[in-house]
Amino acid sequence: MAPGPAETDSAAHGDDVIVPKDEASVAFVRAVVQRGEAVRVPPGGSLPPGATHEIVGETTDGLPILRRKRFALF
Amino acid sequence: MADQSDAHTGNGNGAAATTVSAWEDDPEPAVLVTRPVPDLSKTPLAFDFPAPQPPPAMYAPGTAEFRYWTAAEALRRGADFWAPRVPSGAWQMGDVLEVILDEGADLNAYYDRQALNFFHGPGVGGTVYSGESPDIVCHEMGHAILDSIKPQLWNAASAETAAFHEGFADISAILSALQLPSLRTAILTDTQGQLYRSSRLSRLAEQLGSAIRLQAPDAVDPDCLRNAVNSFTYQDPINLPQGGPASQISSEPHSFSRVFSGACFEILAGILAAKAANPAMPTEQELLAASGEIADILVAGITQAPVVANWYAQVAASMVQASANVNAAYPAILRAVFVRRSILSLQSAANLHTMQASLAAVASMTAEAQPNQPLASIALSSDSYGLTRPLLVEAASHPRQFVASAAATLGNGSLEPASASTAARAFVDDLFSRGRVDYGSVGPTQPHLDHGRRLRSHKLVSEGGAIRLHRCLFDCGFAH
Repeated sequence: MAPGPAETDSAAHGDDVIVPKDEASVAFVRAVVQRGEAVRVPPGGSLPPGATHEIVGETTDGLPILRRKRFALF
Repeated sequence: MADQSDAHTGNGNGAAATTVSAWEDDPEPAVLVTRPVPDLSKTPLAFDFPAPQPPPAMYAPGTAEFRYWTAAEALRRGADFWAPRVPSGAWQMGDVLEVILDEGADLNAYYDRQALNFFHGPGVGGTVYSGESPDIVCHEMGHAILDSIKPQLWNAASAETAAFHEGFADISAILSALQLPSLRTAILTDTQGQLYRSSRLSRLAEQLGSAIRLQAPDAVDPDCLRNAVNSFTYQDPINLPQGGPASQISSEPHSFSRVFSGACFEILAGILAAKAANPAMPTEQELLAASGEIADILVAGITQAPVVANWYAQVAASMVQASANVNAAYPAILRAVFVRRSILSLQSAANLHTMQASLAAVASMTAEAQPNQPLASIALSSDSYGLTRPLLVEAASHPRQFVASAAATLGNGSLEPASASTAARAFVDDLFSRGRVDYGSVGPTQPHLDHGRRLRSHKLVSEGGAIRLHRCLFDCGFAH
């Protein structure tokens, strides 16, 4: 059963976020997080080296909602 | 190292220099080339470099001025190559793309929809600068090009779309390099005319690869960052490990990208061999033409493909179709590569032509009747229903014009894509399995499945070169 997004998070962050809602997107989000490519960024902060996504919220099932910030060479 | 010049500014008589010195592809092969001074403000696809701009001149490698003009020359060359193929004629964020040549310590480079960002870090022989490698700057620019062509891919929650971005960026580096006559000649010599061989064209970012290997020996290829000459084949990334050494394929986007960049490099070599007057020794002019054609085919495929979970197969199928408009000999080349790479199943590749022809015939008839109504039909292979022509059904979704599938990991079958097409296939399978379809006059002479006299909710009607499934009625569901 795929997790559902928290409505408040989706509404707060708009359409340009990655919400894990089916098998493919859950696998994608899990892999990004496990590789350390998604981080929470404090206000005024920036992504650390290697990170490509910002964690902007989470679903009701506790999976992170991401927003892509950049593509990396490696 | 060849063609090294001493650092100097201008030509000695006060006139501005008209040429600069730059690397051909990467600081590790270290082949110098003399190039015209690039105009960074040229539109379409202008760049904003950090000020102050050093006066154009033949600077020596190792200087900040050399790095500046190497990056500028490569980006201008790459952008000029892609510009005619970018429908909007602009970057995703506007007319000008900012470039930050050294943002700090990191063995990496980024595209973030605001700028191309480059860094520096420790290397084998001293500090390496990612912005000094034409391979790397044209890779990052490739992200920006693709973001302009298909901005929906930016945030797509899919391993395949993320990996495709990386693969396209690597191909951007390769095709941008091929716009240099000296490099084309050198590669054809080095590979003895057989382009699909490991060369400094297929090997990307050798210097940064060496620097990364000092810290993580198995994170990159033994002789570069990534190599487009590889033998990786498609597997559903959902079932792959999320990371691993460079020698193995994983769902990590840079790793998985090599399936598609490898396929594109193979196609480039196939196109070159097909168009060369002497396939055993193509000319550099033929290689230049081939680089333009593969770019045209790639952009057409990307533009036409719907953004779906099995993006690789959809783009591949669209590229096969688009290649027919370039050269009638090309679809067979693309199909063969995509099947060998398991990006397309044998069945999908075989059915592409008939499915597309059927859709084109129906689209033509429908366009006359309803000029403003886009088709929302998909073509399903129908041999399992005992039919010899594709079966057109209406899809209740973002339309896929044909169902392209990757090959299954085990056996010879296809990996059916999820979502609308899976639903359509399941629905039609169910109808035929339950004997709810009236074959009428288009069915096989011998019944494929004899269900006897049952209530038929659907019928088959000839339409163009295909067969369309029509609903006749809704029933109460109690039809055994």
